Order: sequence, then C-alpha cells, then structure tokens
Amino acid sequence: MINAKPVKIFFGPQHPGITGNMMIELDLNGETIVKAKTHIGYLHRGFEKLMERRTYLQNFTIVSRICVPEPDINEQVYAMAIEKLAGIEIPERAKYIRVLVLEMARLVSYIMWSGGHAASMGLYTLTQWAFADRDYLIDLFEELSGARIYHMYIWPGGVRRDLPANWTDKLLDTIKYIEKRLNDYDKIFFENAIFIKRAKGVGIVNPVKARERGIVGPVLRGSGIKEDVRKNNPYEVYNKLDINVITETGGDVYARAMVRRREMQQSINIIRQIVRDLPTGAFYKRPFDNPFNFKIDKNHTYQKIESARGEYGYFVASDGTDKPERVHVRGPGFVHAFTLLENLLIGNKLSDVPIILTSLGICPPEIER
Amino acid sequence: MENNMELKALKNNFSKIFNVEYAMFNDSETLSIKIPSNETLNAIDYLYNKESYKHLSMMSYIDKPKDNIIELIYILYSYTDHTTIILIIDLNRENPKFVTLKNIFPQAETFEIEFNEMMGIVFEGNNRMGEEFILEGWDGPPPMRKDFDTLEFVNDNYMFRSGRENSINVREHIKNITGEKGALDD
Repeated sequence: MINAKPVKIFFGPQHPGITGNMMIELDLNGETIVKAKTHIGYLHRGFEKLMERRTYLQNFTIVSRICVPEPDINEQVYAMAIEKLAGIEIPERAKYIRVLVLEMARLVSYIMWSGGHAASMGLYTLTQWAFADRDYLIDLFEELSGARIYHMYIWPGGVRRDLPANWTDKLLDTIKYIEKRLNDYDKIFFENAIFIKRAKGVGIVNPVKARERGIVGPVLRGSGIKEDVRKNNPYEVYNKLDINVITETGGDVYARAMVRRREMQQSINIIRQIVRDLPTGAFYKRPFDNPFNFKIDKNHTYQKIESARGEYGYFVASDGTDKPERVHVRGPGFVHAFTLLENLLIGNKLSDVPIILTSLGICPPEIER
Repeated sequence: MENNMELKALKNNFSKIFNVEYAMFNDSETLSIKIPSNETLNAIDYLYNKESYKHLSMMSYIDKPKDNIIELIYILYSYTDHTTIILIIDLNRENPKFVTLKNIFPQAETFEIEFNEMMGIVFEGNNRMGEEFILEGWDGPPPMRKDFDTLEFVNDNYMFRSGRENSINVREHIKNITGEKGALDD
C-alpha cells in the first residue's frame, strides 16, 4: 500500500468499461479505491416531465426508450399501471403472449449482458458470439412487432397484434439453438479459469446490507435472498408457470453471473411452457371507446415487474384527464449506481471496476429518465 | 381477489395508532395511506420495526399547484408478507420541507437529492441538498414543478433548424445553411 495523496481518476463517461452514460469519480491509493462517487447527467431527456403533457397512449413511444437494453419491461409495467388505474382486464391469451415477450426480452438482455460482462474482462470471444446470437431473437421481435428494439407491442387491453403464422415454431427452433449455444458460453466464459479467478471473492454484497439498501434482482439473489417479483407478486400468468427463484450464496461477481446464467436457462424453459400452454382466443380487448385517446379518473398506483436487473416499478397518478398527472420510473440502476456501487468499490482494485459495474445491472438512462 | 389478511389487520391497527386521513386498497396486496407529515416518522418507524416494511421500493412526489401542496410518497415493501404500502404526506408547496430518511433507508439519500433539484423539496439532515445531480449550471425553477413549461422554455432558449422539402441535393442544402464548401465539393 502506498501512503500518498490519493490520485483522482474519472472513470467514464467515455470509457469502454462503463455501462452507458455515467461517470465514476475514483480516489485511488495506488491501485486501491478509497472513495467512489457516481455522476450522472449525460442523458437527461426529461421523459417524466414530457409524459405529463402527452396522452397515455402517446407515452408508449417514450417509455420503451427509458432503458435501451430492456424496452419491453417498460411497456409492460406502464400498460399494467394504466390497466390498474382504469380497471381493465385483458384476455388470457394476451397475458400469455405478454409473458412470452417478457421472457424473450429477459433472454435478449441476459445474452447482451453476458457479452458485455465478458468484454469487461477482455474475453471478447463471447462478446462477438453474444451479440450475434441476440440478433436471432431480435429478428423474431421484428417479425412480431415490426421493430427490432423498441417494439411498442404491449398496450392497454392486450397486445397490438396476434402471433404471426408459424412464428412459435421459429421461436422454438431459435431457443433450441440458444440453449445449445449456452453450453458453448459455459466453455468459453462461465467455466473459464480467467473468469472464475477474476470474479470470485470480488465485489461482495452482504445479504443484510443488500436488503437494507434496496438492492434487487440478480444482485440480491446472488447474495442468497429468494426475492423475485414473478414468484412473490406474480403478474399476468406467472402464477401458472413453473418458476424457481434462483439464488447463489457467494454474493460476489461470480455469484451474480451464475444467477443470470441459470436464469437464461429458466427463461428458455418458461418460453417452452408458454408455447405449450398458449390458449386460443382474443389477443386484445378494446378497453375504451377510443383506445387512442381516453381519460382516467383520479387515482394512483404502483406497479412493478421483475426485469432482468430486478424490481422495475412505475408510480403513476391520474387526475381525470387524458394525460397522466405523474409518471415516476423506478429502475434498479437508481439504487445500484449510488448507494451500492459507491460503497462496493471501496477497497477494490481499479482493474476490477468494470467487472463490478457490469455485475450490478446498471442502466444509466433509467436513472435520469 | 380477496384483500391480503395481514394488510387488512395492518390497516385496522394503523388507524387506531395514527391520525389517518384515508387508507384504501389499491389492489389486494397494496394499501395507500395518507397521514399528516408530523406523524410520518413515527409511522415509518412503526412500519419498519413493528411490521416488516424494510424495503423502500421508491420515493415519489406529485405537484398539486391548485391545492398549493406537494404530495411526498414513500413506497414500502414487506419481504415477509409480500405486500406494499404507499404512504402519502402533504407538504406546503411554498416551502416544502421534510426530514431525511437516509438513516433508515440509505438509498433514500439519492432520491432526496433528486427531489431537491427537480421539485425543490428540502430534506433536513441530508447534507447533500443543493448538490448538482442531473442538471448542470441550472438556476431556473425546479423543472418538475407543474408551472415550469418545458415547451415555452425550449421556444425561448433554442433555435429550430429549418427542414428540407425533399432529400435531393443534400450537399447543396447543407452548403446553403453553413455557407461553407464541403470536402467533396469542387
């Protein structure tokens, strides 16, 4: 340990190891971090304010852009909030299709994460593989919704259109391919000695502190806590599906990675269950006389779902008009990037910052909204 | 769906201890409670220690200029009962103040810094009030206040670039705007 005046390093916003538009101000004693402070403000688009002056439906074009790697969860939780406020019940087939989309989105997000996580350690083979494999699922989204990333497929009353002919067959073929590829991912990355050596014992999140600090998702489950919105507060048809809450006990970067790795397999299993059990019937039920412009009586609600990064919530208030009085987005990154990351980095080495960061599932756009 | 039994019992007990303005079920697992701000700390202490609401899902606010109030909202979750409480208090809009909850919920500190910047709420005990969070060099009113008109601000501060009629002669159009010779021009 060198006893000298700490050296200040600004990690990001332009840095290959940072997960998006944010910056960490690091004070270093030699290679060891003695202080960390997160800075944001590079991507403020004023979405929440903007949503107050646009109609409920117009806002779907905004919500899907709140977190680029996970647009569908925003559509889902915003639609759930509108349906809760207006007392709308959607058809059973629509619920199944929504869960199918959400699990595809989770898989896409996890595949992309695995590529980013591997890149943070310099293991770029998986990065190339993951981004190529992700595209097969994005192709299916394109066929389903007409869009590759921002689908705007889920809306109040159900989904925008039914599944295209033979689409589920293509989906089953694709996830069969992805499942096979996961074995390759294991060989190249998850069972790689470099990954294991670098990830084990690094960035340990104490389970008691994890609960106290509002930590969610794979980070919480990596510390051994069985908390998953899909299981504990099931929405749509998750209560009808066979789901396990996957946990690891290490609390470190390795444990969080293994939770995600096992959840990738679980998402594949859930997709198969849904295709098997998918009911016939309507995919949409007209919820208002004019579904494009409607008013909602004064009310408020908090709706949440389990995103690939944990609890993702929307607080929405209505005031009797055709525009929301308030929309407030709670993404996991808002807590993970500050109270968790700033504490977790202390005592760690500079070279471990990217792997700790990517292990926490931080999406800066959802912090600034 | 039948309302959660634990939440029903909590609603009854809570109403006996605190001066509840209203308590209503949003759904079977979510209860909204509005209480006076001077009882909030005791109420949160009760929910945290006597009940099991140890997870602060989020904090929020609603600006209500017609009523001259800002509603401050705490959304608490129980890991054991899997139920949610939405706790609502009114703050005076002219001088919105409350105390920090960062000693109970460390993540509250970040919400409080943002709310200070975006809504002008001061959280006493949080020494990071006034810190730049999302905005940089901003000296206008808190931008999430309803009376801050974003469209008016944009019209006053930004110049709109005129568009083109079609996509033909793009380089010519750029040259007309900038008056500069492009790299590919003769």
